[in-house]
Amino acid sequence: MSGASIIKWLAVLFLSLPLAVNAHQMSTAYLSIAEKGAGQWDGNLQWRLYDLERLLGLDSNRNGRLTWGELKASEANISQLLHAGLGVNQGAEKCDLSVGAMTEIDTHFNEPYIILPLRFSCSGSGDVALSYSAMFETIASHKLLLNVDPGQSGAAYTRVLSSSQRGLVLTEVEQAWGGFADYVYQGVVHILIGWDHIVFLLCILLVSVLHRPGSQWQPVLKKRTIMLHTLSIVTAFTLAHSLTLTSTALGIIALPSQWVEVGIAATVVIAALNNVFSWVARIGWLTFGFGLLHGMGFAGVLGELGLPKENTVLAVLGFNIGVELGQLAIIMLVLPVLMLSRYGLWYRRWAMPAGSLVIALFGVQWLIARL
Amino acid sequence: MSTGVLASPFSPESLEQVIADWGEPISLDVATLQSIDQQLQWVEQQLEQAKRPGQSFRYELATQVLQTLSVAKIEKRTDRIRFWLARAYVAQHQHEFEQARINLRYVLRESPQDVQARLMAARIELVAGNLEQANTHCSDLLGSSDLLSASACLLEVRSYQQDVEAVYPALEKIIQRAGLPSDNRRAWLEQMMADMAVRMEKYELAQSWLKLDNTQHSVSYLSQWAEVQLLLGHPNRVLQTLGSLNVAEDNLDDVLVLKLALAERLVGEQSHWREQMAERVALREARNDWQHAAHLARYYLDVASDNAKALHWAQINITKSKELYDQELLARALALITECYEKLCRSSENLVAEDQS
Repeated sequence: MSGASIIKWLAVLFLSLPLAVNAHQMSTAYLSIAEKGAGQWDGNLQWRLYDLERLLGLDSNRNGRLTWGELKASEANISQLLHAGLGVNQGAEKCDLSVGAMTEIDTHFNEPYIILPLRFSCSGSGDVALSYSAMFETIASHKLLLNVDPGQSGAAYTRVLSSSQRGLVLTEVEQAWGGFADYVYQGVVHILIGWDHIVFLLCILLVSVLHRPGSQWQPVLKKRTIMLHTLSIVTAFTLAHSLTLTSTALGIIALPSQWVEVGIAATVVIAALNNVFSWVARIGWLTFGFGLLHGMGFAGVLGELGLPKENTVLAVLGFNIGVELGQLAIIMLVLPVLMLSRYGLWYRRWAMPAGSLVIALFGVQWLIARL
Repeated sequence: MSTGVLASPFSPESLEQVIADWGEPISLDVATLQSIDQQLQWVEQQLEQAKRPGQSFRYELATQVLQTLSVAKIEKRTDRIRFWLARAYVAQHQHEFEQARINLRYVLRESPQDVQARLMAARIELVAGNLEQANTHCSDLLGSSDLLSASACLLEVRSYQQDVEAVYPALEKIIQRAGLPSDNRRAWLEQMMADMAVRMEKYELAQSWLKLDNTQHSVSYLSQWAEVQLLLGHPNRVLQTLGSLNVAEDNLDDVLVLKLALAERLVGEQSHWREQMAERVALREARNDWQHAAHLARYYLDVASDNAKALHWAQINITKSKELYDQELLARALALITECYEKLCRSSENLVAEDQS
């Protein structure tokens, strides 16, 4: 390859790589469709003239200026493209598509679009499904912004169809388990970024490998005992916060969120100081009580995320499971380290109390900030 | 449905009425591109122009021709290499790094010493955060490319592996010795040096590398220049320079509109570009365009504060791009979310209110 060619390519290559994606109003079509009853769906599709020009070559004199006459002359081709690229089925039966005359131009981002009135008449039975593939072969980044009003079947919604997703069931969009994974994920995320919950859990774990027969902390010798003890404490916490998370999220109980958050900060302080001063030896019930408050805190986060009108219980369950998974991850990370440290006098005498005091200080800071 | 900039639909009054004016023929006249060489030349021209402000639609035009070609149709080895390189270039532009890698592998299998392929491969690995692979590609340039290009490639990678403060003077010395080339490598080197200077937080130094001395600068160059001006506290320069580019506002690239919106926010008088950017953002979100995730994250961090959305887009962005800028976006978004959580922000609107108070 010649030197000049190399330099040309270097120019192409580097000048745009660091911020590779440039803007232009990307190829976007708009479809509004509504069920009008008796198997009839009415709507209109808007296609960008620029895209149609690229696909069909509307500008017959190729002067870069498209007249209404040139567009009207291609009406049959546009209709053909529409019939080939957009379809609605009910069950196994294809719905009849009739396309109205082109009479109007709309604009989006100062780019002209042709409005194509259309009607689908369906006589089959079962789910109504839409498929769209009109431009993807030529314009890979093309997307269809879809606005669906399913009439009696539910509330209106919007979706995006792209080259990787070319179809949609119109009348059965809300899948019961569709958002479940999202809520599980959010549950994991919110325990992992919720420092007050993490440090509370840490407080419990710090002493889960120790016991206090007299005035001194001693290591629990049997791993099995540690596991069972941790399991019982964490189960108490889990049960409690699951109970209040669910009740609060479903609107069964409602406490002022500020006081819930203050209470959570207080639980951190008390649990941390209890590690140092051993006011309460059997912390199972204490943990359960504190867990009730933490559950209400999680519910506050869930409230911010918003709950679907349908499948609310499933969403709450998903979030709950996510919280538990996040909690489990923390335990699996921390407990082995604590088990290894439990025999060290340094841990029992210095590290555990010092760590607890640091946590107590954090708790105090949160407490002040939240009051 | 979100429709972007709204205007009422209208019915044309006559068949002669012009309803769209693109300034040049858009559809491809295949008859004029008879040979493979002509088609590839046309593609390369489109890609060359596509980097200029308001010209990114040419990526699509180039893609349209590339789709009509196939390796089976291309007899000459050099043409096959041009074809794969063009496909790789378009793919990397769309952040489809795996597609780009596949095409570059074809090139390097036919021509292991191919300089463009090596440089592009190195750059892609750098963006994807694969520094070892990037280094390997740069090392392979030694002996097959000019010394300046190979050294710059290697030192850029090293600036991420080691201390940028140590690498910068080394590259500066090489450039001083060789002289800044007068060809298009000049802008590449200037941008690289400016980027390192920014990473060292020496913004005046960065500014000294980026000079707007001609009208042929790429979007990337202009964007980097604007970012440095913002870091130096010169938002009016950004508004004046980018706002007077000879490009219709609606065609101005997202990243440049973003810089204008950032500048406007710093000046605090007008909201024209912020409104323009808000419309772009609404469309990108409606389309769920992950390729624009970095711009969206930055918009929600610095133009219209919304921590949750900033984090959402920063997380999407980091899955594809892992440069320092992308890492900083994510770190900032995470820090804001954590801070918000600790302060009991009940919604992103509360945070905006806090910011404003």
